[in-house]
Amino acid sequence: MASLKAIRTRIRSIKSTQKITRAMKMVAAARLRRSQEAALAARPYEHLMHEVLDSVGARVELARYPLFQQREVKRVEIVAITSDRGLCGGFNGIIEKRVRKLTQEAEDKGQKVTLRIIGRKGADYFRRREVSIRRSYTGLLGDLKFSTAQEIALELSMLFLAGEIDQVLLVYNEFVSAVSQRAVEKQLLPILPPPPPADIESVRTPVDYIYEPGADAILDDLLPRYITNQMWASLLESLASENAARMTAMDAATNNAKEMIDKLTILMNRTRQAAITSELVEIVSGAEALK
Amino acid sequence: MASLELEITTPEKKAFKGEVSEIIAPGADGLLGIRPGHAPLLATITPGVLSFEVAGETHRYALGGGFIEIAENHVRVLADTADRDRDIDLERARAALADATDQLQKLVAGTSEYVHQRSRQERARLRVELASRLSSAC
Repeated sequence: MASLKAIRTRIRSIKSTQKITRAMKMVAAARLRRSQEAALAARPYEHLMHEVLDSVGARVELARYPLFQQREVKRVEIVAITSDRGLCGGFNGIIEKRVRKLTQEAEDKGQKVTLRIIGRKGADYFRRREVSIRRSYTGLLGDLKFSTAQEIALELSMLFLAGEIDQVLLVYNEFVSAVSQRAVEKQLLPILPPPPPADIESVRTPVDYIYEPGADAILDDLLPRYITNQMWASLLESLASENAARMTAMDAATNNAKEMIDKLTILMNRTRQAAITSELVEIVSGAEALK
Repeated sequence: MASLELEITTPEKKAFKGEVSEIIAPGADGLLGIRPGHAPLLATITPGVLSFEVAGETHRYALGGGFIEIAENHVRVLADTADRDRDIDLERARAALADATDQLQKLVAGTSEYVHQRSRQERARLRVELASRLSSAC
């Protein structure tokens, strides 16, 4: 049996670990609230964007636009959003797994795959594998800027328009709730005609607008923004998910630490009791022997 | 008198929501004046100043590019950025403008970085213009 001193040291060490995990949980919780608000704040914009695209889309033939053009897919770019920092449970693992599956499927179809990774964790993971990474971004998740989404979207659009890539898939964690996130994949390019909005509020009769300047010009302006916004919304979703995942992971770690401390405390008490008992036995039997 | 319901939304936040009486927006083909009862309209807006009146007070926002949608006295503005004049820090805006202008000199036109800095410059320029107009009015 371990000595009393060893057990005490162990308990102390677990306690300090617990302090760290608890602090990280609090930080993640605070960040989660902020990132959740940001993700929610982006929704009205996204919503309106869909509506406008729907409305204009009903009047012009969208397939004419290069960004809508479906080509035979020979080269795919997968954009994966992971995190810069670890200690967030399965957050990055499920993205990496999904990306590998997608890569495999595409390669089986004879397509060439390139990756674009956001987040240090994903970049580190894929660097060690047999995949070609076109670009990776690290350190931009801490202070997420809209211009980052703009830049990525612009670069992807240019590659697509230049025929360098025929399809762009986006893989990220969607924020379901504070305790649940799931990996989703979305096609960013070519743009898929938007699905009908789910909200009741938006199901109003389509308005017959005056377009200024012309529906075509509006669409030219709208499409790049649409892609940018999808990128932006995905980044926000992923960030909220990351914080939620970290909070859950750190909560579990804190609870596990508590359990271990409880168990070790019982063990420590037993060990101490055993030591006292055996000392007593020694004294009593010593006294017996003197009789 | 009928009023307009105005909403200004950016990807980062909801910048404004409320009842206003008259709006002047920077349309792609020139300024758009909007009063209650305006016909349904969907227009692009260029980076510029959007102004409107709330209870006699004039609000001004520096807008990045975007759209404006008008339907049944409900006006929705979708902009890349929206900064209210009195929230703009003139010093910071000036510094951003100088920095963006600096960066632009080193870049080749057409690259994504160039486009990015170009839009930064434009935004900063607008902020400076609005903020200095405000401080001189005081």
